[in-house]
Parts: sequence; C-alpha cells; structure tokens
Amino acid sequence: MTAEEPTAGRRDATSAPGVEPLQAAARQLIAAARAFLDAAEALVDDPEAVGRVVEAVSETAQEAARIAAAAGRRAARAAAEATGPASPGTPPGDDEGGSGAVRNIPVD
Amino acid sequence: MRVLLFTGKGGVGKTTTAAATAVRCAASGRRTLVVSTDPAHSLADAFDAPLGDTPAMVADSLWGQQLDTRLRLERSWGDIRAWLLDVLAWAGVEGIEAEELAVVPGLDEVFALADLADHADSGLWDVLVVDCAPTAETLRLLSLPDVLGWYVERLFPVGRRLNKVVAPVLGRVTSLPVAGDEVFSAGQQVFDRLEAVRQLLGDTERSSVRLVVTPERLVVAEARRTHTYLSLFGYGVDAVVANRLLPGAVADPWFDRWKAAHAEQLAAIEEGFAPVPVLRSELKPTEPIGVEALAGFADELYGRLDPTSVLHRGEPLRVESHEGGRRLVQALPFGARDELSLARRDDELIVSVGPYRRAIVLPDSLRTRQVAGASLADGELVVEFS
Repeated sequence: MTAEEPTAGRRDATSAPGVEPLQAAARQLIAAARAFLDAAEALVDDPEAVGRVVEAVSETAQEAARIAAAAGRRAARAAAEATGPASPGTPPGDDEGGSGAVRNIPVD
Repeated sequence: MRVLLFTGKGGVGKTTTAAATAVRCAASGRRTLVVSTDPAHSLADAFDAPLGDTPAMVADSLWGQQLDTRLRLERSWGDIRAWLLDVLAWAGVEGIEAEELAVVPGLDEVFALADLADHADSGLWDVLVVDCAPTAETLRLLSLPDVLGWYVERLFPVGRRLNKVVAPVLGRVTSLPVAGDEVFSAGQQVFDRLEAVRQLLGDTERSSVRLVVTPERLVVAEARRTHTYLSLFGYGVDAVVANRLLPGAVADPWFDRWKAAHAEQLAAIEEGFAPVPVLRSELKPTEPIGVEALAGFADELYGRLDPTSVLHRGEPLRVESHEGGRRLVQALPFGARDELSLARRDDELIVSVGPYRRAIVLPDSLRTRQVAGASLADGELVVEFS
C-alpha cells in the first residue's frame, strides 16, 4: 500500500508541496498583526478594549501557529514521498493525525 | 410524513413522474403537496392548471406549488445583502454591479430547498413530492447543507466572536462597514434552515430519492453517478423509474434497433441498480397532461405498490462490530477506486468521490480508534478500525 496525496497526480512544477497552507498561515499572521496594530491605536482612547482585542489576537495567532505546524508536517511528508513510496511496514496507526492534521488513507 | 424527490437528466420525464405520483398519493386520501424546485418550472404545464408561489389546489387532497426562489432569497439574505452592498459601496462598486455581486450564485435554490423543511414541519401534509431540477443542480443543492455546514460549524463561532471584539476598534481606524450582529444572525438562520433540510432529507425512513431515466446509454451513465453521489451524502434512493420504454406493440421494423437498444439498457439498469426496484413506464401515444392522464401514468408505473411506502431500504452509512474491531461502511454504488480518496482529520473521515467531498463525523464508538485499512468492493467503502 502506498500513501499518496490526493492531488499528487495533478501537481505542477510551480506548486511546491505545502505552499498553500504556508500562504494561509502567512495570511493569518498578517491578520493578527493588523488586529494588533488596531489594538495599539485603541489603547490611546480605550484601555479596557485592549484586553478584549489582545484575547482575539491571541486566538488568531494560535490558529496561525496550528496551520503552520500542519503545513510543516505535510511538507515533511511530501518530501519523504518524493524520495520513494511509503514503507510497506508503516504501522496503520501512522494514518492517524491529531490536532487537525489530515492523513490520507490508501483504499485497496 | 413522506418526502419523495424525483431527479434525473434533463428531459427524461421528472415532472410528469412527480406529478403522477402526487396524483396517485392524493387519490388515496393523503394530503399531498407537489413542489417544483426547478427554476424552469413545468409543473403547471403537467397539470394544465395555474400554479404559483403558494400551494394551490389542483384536485381533491392535491396541491401544487412552483417555488419563486427569488422571493425566498430576498427574505433570508436581506440583512447579509444589505451589509455586502455597504462594503461594495465603500470599495467604490455601486449600482447594478453591486446588486449582482451581493448575491451568491445558486443561493436562491438553497432557500427553495429550505422551504421543504418548513412544509414538512407544518403538519399540513402527509406527502411532499418534489420535482427537482436536473441532476447536476440537484446534486449541488443536496450536497450544500453538508458542505456549508462543515464550514459554518467551524468558522462561524470564531468569526462572530472575533467580530464582536474587533469591530469597535476597526470602526475607529477605518470607514469599512463592519458586519453587525444582525448579519451573523441572518447567517445563523440560513445555516439552521439548511441543517433542518439535511436532517429531513437524510432520514431514509422519511425521505426517498427516485431516479428517473430513459433507456439511453448517456442517461443511465449519469444516473449511476448520481446514485453514487447521493449515497455519499446519505440520501436514500428507493427506486429507479425507467420511463418512455418503447411498447411491445410497436411492430414497425424501423424501431427494431431502438427496441434492441432499449432492451439492452433496461437490462443494464435492472442489473446495475439491483436490489433497488425499477419501475417501468412505456412511451405514451400522447403527452400525459392533466390529472386524469397522470393518474393513468401512475397506475402503470406503480401497479399495486403504494407510492408512499419505502420501496427499498438501504443504509448509506452504518457501523458494524466484529471480533477484531469495528468497521464503518459507506455505500458507494458504482463507485470507482480511481476517483475515490479517503483521509482522516481528528474525529472526521473525509471521503471524496469525483467532484464531491463529505466529511463524516465519526461516532463515539470509532473516534478513539485507529484506522487499520480501507477497501472498496461491491459498491461499499469499508473502513476498518482496530
């Protein structure tokens, strides 16, 4: 059994593995930075609002970190696949993912 | 309460079959409403009676309705549309362009579908017969509650919370119109209506899909794919209607090749869709228009069968236990391995078949188990859990 990315057959030369999730993570970080700047500006007028905004920014940053981590795992897996098929001895449990990671399952 | 949906490739006789089924249901005294969700309505033509956006009486116990999707869009999307128009105006887009951009294509049909749940909950009807749009639109429509639900459940709460906190700050630093809570409320209502539809149509004891085909190769091929995708989303197909079969009495040799082709395709339908029953209707000398002609059509189609009964009970999705563990079985009739992909993300199993994808939330009994393997055979995807 060989684990394959579903889009492996359609991937073109310009799209490196894991780029899209990294772009998504970058967008999340930019959004977090914008929100942070907004919070800094709000500090001048309303200190109480800052606490609430910082909490929201924190959530956004955590989401970005999660996406980045998932992208890293995916890129590592894609790199491993590029060097050859998955080991036949790979335990079934290796298909499982935690914390939002998508794991492909080969179908016989 | 039963919901019977009729779909198939364009021009195969969906409207006639749906209308005839409704006539038969009403003749047995059941309060029956036949609804057209096809934007190109032809239900009124089938009854040769005027029909509008509200249920109108066609015969004893029989009512018909041609949904005006535009009206429903205005009602449900109004608040969201108003905000989008503000945003577009802020971005310098106004007038007709903004009006068009503020309406997501295909959304009007979604609200037509949502009306079905309202009818089912009203208690006014014993049978709801739905004359659907051609297959592609219907599939897109029926997959939407599942697909949109996936996004809404995950993104909506975060977005709403973030918006509540950030909106006041944004209001000070930019003139960009920020979505108010009424916009999120409208979005939540849209989702709730879709979820109600999914619950109704996904209940195979209450709702059944009947595929209408003519004995032609392309039509049958599309019906097979439709069966696969409908099963993926958990909709139960309980019958196939083979329509416009050439009558045996036609003896003109010019039709010999047509008759042979029909016989070949009919055999393929019977064999391929088994154990789903195949109901037959022969080509009529004239179009069956009006209640009387439709009653005759239904008599031939159903014979002694009760059209409101569940004609075939399949289980699109089930969990089985065995000595080594448990398995999840997803029905995928006619499913092909080369267009199937499977993945797991936390407590979800993501099944993709052709252009359609469904995220199946694993039941508690499987959530903590690991996938030991998966196979596709005899129209079923079997995922083994250790």
